[in-house]
Amino acid sequence: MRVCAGIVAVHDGPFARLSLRDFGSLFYSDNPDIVANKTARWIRFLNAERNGRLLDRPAYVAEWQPHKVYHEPMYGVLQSSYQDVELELRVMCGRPAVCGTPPAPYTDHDPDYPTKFRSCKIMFVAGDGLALMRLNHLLANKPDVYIDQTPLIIPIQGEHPHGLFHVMHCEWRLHRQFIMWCAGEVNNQQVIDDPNVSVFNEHRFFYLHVLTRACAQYIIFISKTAGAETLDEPIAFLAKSEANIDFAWVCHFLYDAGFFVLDFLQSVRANRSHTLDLLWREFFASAHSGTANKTQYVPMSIMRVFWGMALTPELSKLYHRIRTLPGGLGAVGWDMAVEMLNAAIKAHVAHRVSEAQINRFIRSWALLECVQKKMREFIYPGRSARQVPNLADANRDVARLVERFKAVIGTTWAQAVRPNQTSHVTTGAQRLMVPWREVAAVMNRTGAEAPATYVRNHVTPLTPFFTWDP
Amino acid sequence: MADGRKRPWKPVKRRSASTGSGGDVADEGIELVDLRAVHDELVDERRLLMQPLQSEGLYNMHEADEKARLARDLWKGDFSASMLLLRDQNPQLVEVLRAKLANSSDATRSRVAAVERYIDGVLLDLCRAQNMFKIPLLTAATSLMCEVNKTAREYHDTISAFHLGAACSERWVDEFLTLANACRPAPTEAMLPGVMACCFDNLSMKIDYSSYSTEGETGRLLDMTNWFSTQLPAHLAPNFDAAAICARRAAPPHP
Repeated sequence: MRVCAGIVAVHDGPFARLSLRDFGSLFYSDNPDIVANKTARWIRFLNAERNGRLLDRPAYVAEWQPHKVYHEPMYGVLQSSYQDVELELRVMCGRPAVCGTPPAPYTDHDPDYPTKFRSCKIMFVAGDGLALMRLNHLLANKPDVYIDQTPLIIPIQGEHPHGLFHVMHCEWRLHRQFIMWCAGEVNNQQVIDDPNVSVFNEHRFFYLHVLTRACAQYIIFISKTAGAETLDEPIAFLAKSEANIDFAWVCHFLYDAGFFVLDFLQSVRANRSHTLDLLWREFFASAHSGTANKTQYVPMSIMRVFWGMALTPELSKLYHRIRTLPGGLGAVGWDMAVEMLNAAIKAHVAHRVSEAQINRFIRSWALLECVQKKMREFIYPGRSARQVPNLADANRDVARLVERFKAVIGTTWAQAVRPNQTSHVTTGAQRLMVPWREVAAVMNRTGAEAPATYVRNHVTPLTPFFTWDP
Repeated sequence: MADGRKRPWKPVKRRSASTGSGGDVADEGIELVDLRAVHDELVDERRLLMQPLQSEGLYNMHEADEKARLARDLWKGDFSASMLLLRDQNPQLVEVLRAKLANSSDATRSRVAAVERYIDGVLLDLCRAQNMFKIPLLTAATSLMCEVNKTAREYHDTISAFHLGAACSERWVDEFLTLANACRPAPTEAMLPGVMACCFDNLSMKIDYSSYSTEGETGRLLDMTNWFSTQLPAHLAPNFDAAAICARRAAPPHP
């Protein structure tokens, strides 16, 4: 069975076979699949912006609806140690486990627990970044327990909110000076230099709803002026833009960062699983740079791509179909549901917090969540066709930013590409190496530092259970 | 008419009160009888309007099986059907309310839809004002929404003082949730045997903290890992055999 260019898979229990050399080459930023996707989305998203539909949710009909059962919490354990995660896996597999204070055998209100879990042969286990990092290492360290015994554990990385945040955060770090200059120009006091996941929503709003749209509108505007390069050839367009560092910041932000994050978000919403793998491959180049420094997410993105390719065809098909979790207005990451539960617990069990009170709330959460979802469908019929509701109107900021671009960079193609190497659209000291050149330099490393070598060196120790072809 | 039946139309030869002498006496009689028929219809409609709200299909909270039916219907969440039923039983009232809500705004699709929601709201209020123990599906749902969204107690109490259809009491919600959780319908589609998916995430909550403490130790962190599981529908992977896939595993490559 052909899985990917140059990679032939045969069956070996749950696993296909992959070539290690070919796998390593998938992560280069000039990989044809990555370049083709970047070109296609550049054209697609610019067309969407022309039609005023850039941020519209993609058409998506869920193939299934999860029958979620929320279980009693495992008290006294987090994900800060491998011991904790091992205990959590025991509980999720229905094996006897002791947790809490004072320690007591884990019990659950679900009448099917633990029978249903003990008879399980294949268990998909999802979580946020920390959970996935621990899982990847546990599978590597104890494959005899988690791979060779049933249930076979297959990790699912939470794509949204955690995955999306780290994808955005990576680009935010790389383009920070440009982003913060733009924020200053529209007097946005909310966004900060180096946001963390707790302020994700505000930063995502500025990043996608204001900045990405403003850059797209400005580029469309310039492309209509005399002598402009066609937008249908982004590589040539970007090459010309680099004559003027200011215009290059706008163009590269849109091409490398703005549309990348939007593509990721839309792919989650529409469960385009193979595109998500392609985007994690694209992520590698930026995330591996010193400025982005996504040290945990680089290996995790490699492992996410590995699992997307390493399974036997029937299992792989199922894996990709359940890549994301159907939600109210499209799919979300698996991590979203439990994140919402945690937020609800914090909001509801605010006073006289006790384990009994939390347990009681969790037992009701499935119904409360179900009613909320159905009520939204009832009062917002056709909501999925609209943009995200209840958000502030970003049009004014977008227009202001476009005007600033016109004032600083120019209003014609000739002005936009006039030679200039002094940046006027960034804050702080001028960067010695702009993001797109830094990423290119990472990709051009050779020898032990070569991207393919790095990928091989990370994926091999994390997959001792897997037979790699050379 | 008192018995609710419309009077059959019957031409009566009678001199018209509105005309002088001459003309076709029979035709003038028809005009009079038509007026009477219209009058009778108006009386009839007034009678229908003045009768108590018709509210079949609501859920009587004094009956255990009705409570269970409400719980099952909440899981299904077909709010639209429940409101249609209520509207169908009270067409005259709906017409009057629609007329009362008419204004000079353009009849856009969103305005028309909004008016229908306002009518739903009035009907829900009337249902519960008529009998507090007969609860419409939507009222039960909005009551649970208060719980989901942690509506402030004072606001909740104020709203329910004026709009009984908006929310039942917190106590009712509390008691009802226990019953409703037990009534969750099982999945209707076949599931993949031997396959499950779980998701977990940790949460730490500060408890017993006191901002007034100046010495000693107060408060602690309650650590937990929350998780959910779901089975996967069989249609996602036809002919999938999890046991066979795992059994096919060759000798593992690791030592």
